[in-house]
Amino acid sequence: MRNYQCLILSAALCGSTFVLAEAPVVESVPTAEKATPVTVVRVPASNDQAIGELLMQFQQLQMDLASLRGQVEELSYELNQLRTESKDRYIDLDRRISEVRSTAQNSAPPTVTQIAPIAIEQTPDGDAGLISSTTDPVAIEQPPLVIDPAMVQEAYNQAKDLIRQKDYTGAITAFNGFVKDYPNDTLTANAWYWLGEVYLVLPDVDNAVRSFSEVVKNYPKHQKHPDSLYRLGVTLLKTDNAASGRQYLETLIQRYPDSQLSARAKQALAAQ
Amino acid sequence: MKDRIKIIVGIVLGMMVSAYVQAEFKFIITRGYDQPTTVAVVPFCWQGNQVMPENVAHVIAADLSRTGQYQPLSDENMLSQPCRHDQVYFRDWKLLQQDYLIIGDIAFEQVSQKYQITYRLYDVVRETNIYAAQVSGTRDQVRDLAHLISDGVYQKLAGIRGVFSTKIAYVTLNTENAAPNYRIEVSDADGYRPIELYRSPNAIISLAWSADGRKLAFTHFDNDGRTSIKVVDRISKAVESLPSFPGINSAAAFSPDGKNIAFVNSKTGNADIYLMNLQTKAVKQLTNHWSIDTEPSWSPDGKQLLFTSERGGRPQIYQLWLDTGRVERLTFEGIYNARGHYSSDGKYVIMVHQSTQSFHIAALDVETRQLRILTETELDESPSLAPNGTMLVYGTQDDGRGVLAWASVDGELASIMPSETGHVREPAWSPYLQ
Amino acid sequence: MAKSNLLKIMAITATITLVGCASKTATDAGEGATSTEAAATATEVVEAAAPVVTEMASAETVASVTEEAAPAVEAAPEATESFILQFKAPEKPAYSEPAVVRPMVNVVYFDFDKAGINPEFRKLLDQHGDYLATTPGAKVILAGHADERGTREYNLALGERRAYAVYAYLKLRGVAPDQMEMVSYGEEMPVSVGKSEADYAKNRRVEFKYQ
Repeated sequence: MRNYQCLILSAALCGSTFVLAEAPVVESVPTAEKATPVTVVRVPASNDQAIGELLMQFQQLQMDLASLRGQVEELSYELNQLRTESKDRYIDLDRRISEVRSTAQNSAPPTVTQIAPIAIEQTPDGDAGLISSTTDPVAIEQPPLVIDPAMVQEAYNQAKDLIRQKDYTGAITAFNGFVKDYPNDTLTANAWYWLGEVYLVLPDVDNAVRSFSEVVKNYPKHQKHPDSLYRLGVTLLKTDNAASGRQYLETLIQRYPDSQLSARAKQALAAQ
Repeated sequence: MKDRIKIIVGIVLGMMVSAYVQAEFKFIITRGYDQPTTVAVVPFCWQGNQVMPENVAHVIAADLSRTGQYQPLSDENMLSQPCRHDQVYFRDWKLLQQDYLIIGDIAFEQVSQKYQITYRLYDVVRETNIYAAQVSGTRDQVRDLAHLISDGVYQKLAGIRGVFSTKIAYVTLNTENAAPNYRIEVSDADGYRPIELYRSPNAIISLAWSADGRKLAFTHFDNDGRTSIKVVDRISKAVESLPSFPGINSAAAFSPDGKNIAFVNSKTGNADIYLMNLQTKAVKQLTNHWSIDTEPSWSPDGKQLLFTSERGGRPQIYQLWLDTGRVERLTFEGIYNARGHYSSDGKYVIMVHQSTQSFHIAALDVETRQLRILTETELDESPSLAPNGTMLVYGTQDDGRGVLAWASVDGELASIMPSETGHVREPAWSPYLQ
Repeated sequence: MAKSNLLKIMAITATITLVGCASKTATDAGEGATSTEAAATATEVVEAAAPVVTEMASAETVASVTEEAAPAVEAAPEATESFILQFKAPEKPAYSEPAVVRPMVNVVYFDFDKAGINPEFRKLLDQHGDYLATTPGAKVILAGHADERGTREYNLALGERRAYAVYAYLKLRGVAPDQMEMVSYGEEMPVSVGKSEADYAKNRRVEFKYQ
């Protein structure tokens, strides 16, 4: 069995070499008579060696083929995406050009048409019709008087997404910007809390303590108050200021006796 | 320790397994929504002589709390504890800053020997009773009744069908004794009331529910490492062995119509996907490739199969159209994507995803092809979606021990379910049960 | 150039096909060689291959390829036959050598997410192959394993693929298919439960379990 496999393999191997190598082999082989033992053995000393080699090469080829297939799949996917994207971009461009064209045909000055809606919103009791161009710049440069809650939420979500993406420095910048821009929002305490968490990751204990303290001091009724107490306490326990850490945890246990955090705080205190 | 703090804080998952661990495992919410809706579940009134087998209000409160979207009020903080409509004073609940209020009354029907629970849901801000219903069942079913009420409340508040009455199946491995002991258990969705369905000294993997929630298919190893697919009935616990073929027999997935099972076999020398008619046991080969094809999973309409293949050099998720045989690659982000599962609405696919080092659970929006990573634990695997698509349960590791964890599909919530001993793995969330 | 490439591919395909389909190859060989001994071996091989369904299943798909690829080999029928004849003589003595001793090491290791045989283990595999080939009564279970990274099902398939890689190699070394059985444990039976690369490397393996 072994014998035959080897033979056939070698034969096939030679067959392939034979076809490829053309002239020299063609000359030598056909002259060989069936019965005549030919001494020209062009196979490696060990056939087993050759078989093993072939199997390894085959496996290598399979792997290479697979990764090439993978690349083709990825490239065609990217190509498809690019195609869709460029088509969208073209349609968008086309739309804009035709817009510009129609505006150009229109006699009304483009500046007025573009800023009018904002101006109307800003001065609700103003003239609903055409607005004189002198008031426009003022209207535009005024900061929005009313904070849009959706915008605040969006800014907050963006900052939180940065944490999820593990972009901690980005998150710190974003949250610091948030507490500065929206010092009186319901999410401000949340922002301070997350700032604390992110500083702990770095770790920047001083800033973490400062951030958690903001929530503890200024938002005693906020939902993040117990969490901040807990983090502040546990963080301080590991510093020279363990005594005040203990104090915060005791405050937590006192104020939120039945919360899960209190149970953890007790554990933390017990572990001291 | 420092590393551990880093992990806990970094991923904001306080994995501190608290001391109150019982035989059943519990969910601990380790990260929550920033502004959960507040809801007070007042202890339900009960005039009977017998002690109620469960504190129904507490079960409901725990159900709602586990979603992370609701924050229940503790009993001690309630100013009053009404259980009838005329006892409700909205002022009390407004003072406690509650958004919603749930009250209930339990009665015992002598004739039918059943408990009857009447409950009401109030919108505190609008001062209106927005929902009222009645459920009834035997003493053994009181916990089921509580979950049913949670389902009703959740449906009303979130507008989505609740999954509190569903089950979770999983495999436990007890390594305490010399011989390992694998078990298939099914518990309530909250981890309580585990029931053992099957036990083996050898490994069990790949639990899969039938669409009607009646049966569970799984992969069983014999003493020599040969695998076969078995099906166990959730109610009768009867076990049926499906025909086996040379090589691996694994990764069974019931078709949505319950007629077929997709599975993996390697009689050709490596894993390919096959289809077996459960009635006739006739087998048809669906994929034929020299690379690994595995983990078949049905689309909700039963027309496509997702599967994992390494035909592109690395494991990625592909989709097979059963009518035409067309195969299309679905995942392009990350170096390892496997075990894809469609959500029940077919809008996204959850999977095990590796981008750099760790394995996480991710959700792919089928339409936009956006990939969202949902979990932040390490070595996450075997995700299984709740039938309403809002939550998933998955296997992960905590201090080298296999544990189950929950994640919300919006990525806002994750929780670890600690278990008493050994490993818990291969969770499978049941479909809605009749 | 294109043509020669094509021929090369065809030839390689033929080689692999022939090797992969042991029963078919053996029969062909029997036709080429006239000795009765060869014919006897051929039937023996066919019988031996029968219970292994792995062979049976692939035979159908392989058969058509064999026909297509056949011209590449048949292009030089005399050559093939003469080669067969001359190889017979030097091969013979290998069989009469004294019995080979079973190697002490019973495990080979693999790279992450790979099922290709690592060149450093070829010598060991050769030793196992020689032992099995010269000891027809010996039977072995090839148990494939994977490390815990990735999904259980994928790892189960990967373990199987690793076992198959060893199986295919040994088969080429002349081990009869019915001497070997492949199983996979996937990631279920780690030898090392740690989380380091060193631990993982120990778990990515195929074990020889002699029966």
